[in-house]
Amino acid sequence: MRAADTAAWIAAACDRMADAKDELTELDAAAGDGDLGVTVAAGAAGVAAAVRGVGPDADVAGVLRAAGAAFARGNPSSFAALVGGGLVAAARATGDAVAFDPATVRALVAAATSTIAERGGSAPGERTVLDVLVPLGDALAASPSVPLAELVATASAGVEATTTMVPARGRAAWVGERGLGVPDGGATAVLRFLQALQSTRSEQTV
Amino acid sequence: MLVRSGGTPAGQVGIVTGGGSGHLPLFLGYVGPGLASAVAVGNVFSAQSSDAALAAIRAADSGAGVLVLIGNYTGDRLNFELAADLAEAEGRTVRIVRAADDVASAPPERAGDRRGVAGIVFAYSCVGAAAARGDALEDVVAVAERTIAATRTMGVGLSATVLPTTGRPSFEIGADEMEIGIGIHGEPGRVRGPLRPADDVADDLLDSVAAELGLVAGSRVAVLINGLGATSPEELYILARRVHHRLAALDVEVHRTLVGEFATSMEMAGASISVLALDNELTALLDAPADSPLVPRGL
Repeated sequence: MRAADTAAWIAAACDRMADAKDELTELDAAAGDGDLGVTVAAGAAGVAAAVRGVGPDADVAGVLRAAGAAFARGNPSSFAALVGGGLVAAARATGDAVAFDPATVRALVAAATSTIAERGGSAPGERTVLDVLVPLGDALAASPSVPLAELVATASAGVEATTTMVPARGRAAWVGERGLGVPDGGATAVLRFLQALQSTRSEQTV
Repeated sequence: MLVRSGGTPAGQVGIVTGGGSGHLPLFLGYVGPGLASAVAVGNVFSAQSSDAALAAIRAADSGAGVLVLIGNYTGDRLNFELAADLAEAEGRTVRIVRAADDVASAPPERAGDRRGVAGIVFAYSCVGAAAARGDALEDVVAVAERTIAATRTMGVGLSATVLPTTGRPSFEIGADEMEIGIGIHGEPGRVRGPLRPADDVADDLLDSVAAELGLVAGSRVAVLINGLGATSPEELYILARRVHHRLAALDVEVHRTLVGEFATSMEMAGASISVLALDNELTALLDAPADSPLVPRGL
């Protein structure tokens, strides 16, 4: 599948992210300032428009760079800049790949994860988006081709694990143990995106 | 976004800065000859967008690369890092250096976590001069890092800022209290206590700053006495007087004293004291011409 076709699939999944807005707002309000729903919804809407505009001959890097810039632009916040920066770093890691093949996906997830960890000054276990991204990267590294359903299950387990973690980063750290019992909003956003990918093209494997 | 009239002269490194609004003359005021080439700002106390950051980087790039010089705040940094990535994908060369001069915001062993406050003004002056004399990007970066490493600041707050977005004070403080070590957005400092005479406060701030710089007899420094927004020049000069006397007693040479509003916090009452430990090169760079309509003369 050409990168432009994958971009159309990504755009379709982003269209569905508006459905997650209220849930993410609620999760974030429990621990932070409650702007995550707006950030993800506005960012996803921006990504959908941006990746639909990349042109039929776009390479993977072109799609990811457009997506990263658009996500950061949607509702400027630390989460938006972190994820946007992760996507732009992912673009660099894909070189001149023209398709989202398994090796390219593995490379882009690894690059996005390490950039978000470095810039956010965070590590797995601190109740962040990394608690989903790191298990996803491990799953992708463990097998040459992973069905999307398995990635969704991995992400779901990662989200569940955040309910027992005490926040250490960002505004959520200010509430400390009060965040216990509630899943992390950023991690949940990644799960919802993977589920949206699944529901828009369930036969895909990556 | 604001760009220096005429842009960065060809062949010179572009200097970009930015951050939240609410600190004038920081950041918009530090654009001009011998200072920054372009600046991107966000809303009051909110980071500039990555779009504005990228636009400023593009506007400042005359082909010799761009130094982004910002305060050490997460949102400012993340958006500039993203913008730098996008600029590099366009073939530009961008380096980011963060000012972290506020000694009260983290202990010395976590100096990299400290916030950037008024001391960044010294860095603007030195990197602007280094760029103007034609230094290559890596050399301008080195000047920025060296200036920041030699700069320390500590502030005191006497009243809070009311945020326009909420209409509420950013923190609570009694009319007879002050906060030693306050941040430029009202972040808590080291000690909350009753008001004390200006000389005592100046001693507290200067002692913390001077101890870390290791000032000894014969050291040469530049001093910045900065008003946070609602403190009169008369009061700032009282602090300047005390700092001058203290440094003279230590036999430290004060090469330059700047007194005025250089980095404010809306209408917060209070002040900060910054000291830059000078060597010969930094002295020459600090003395080089710099000009902006928003900054007090003599920068």
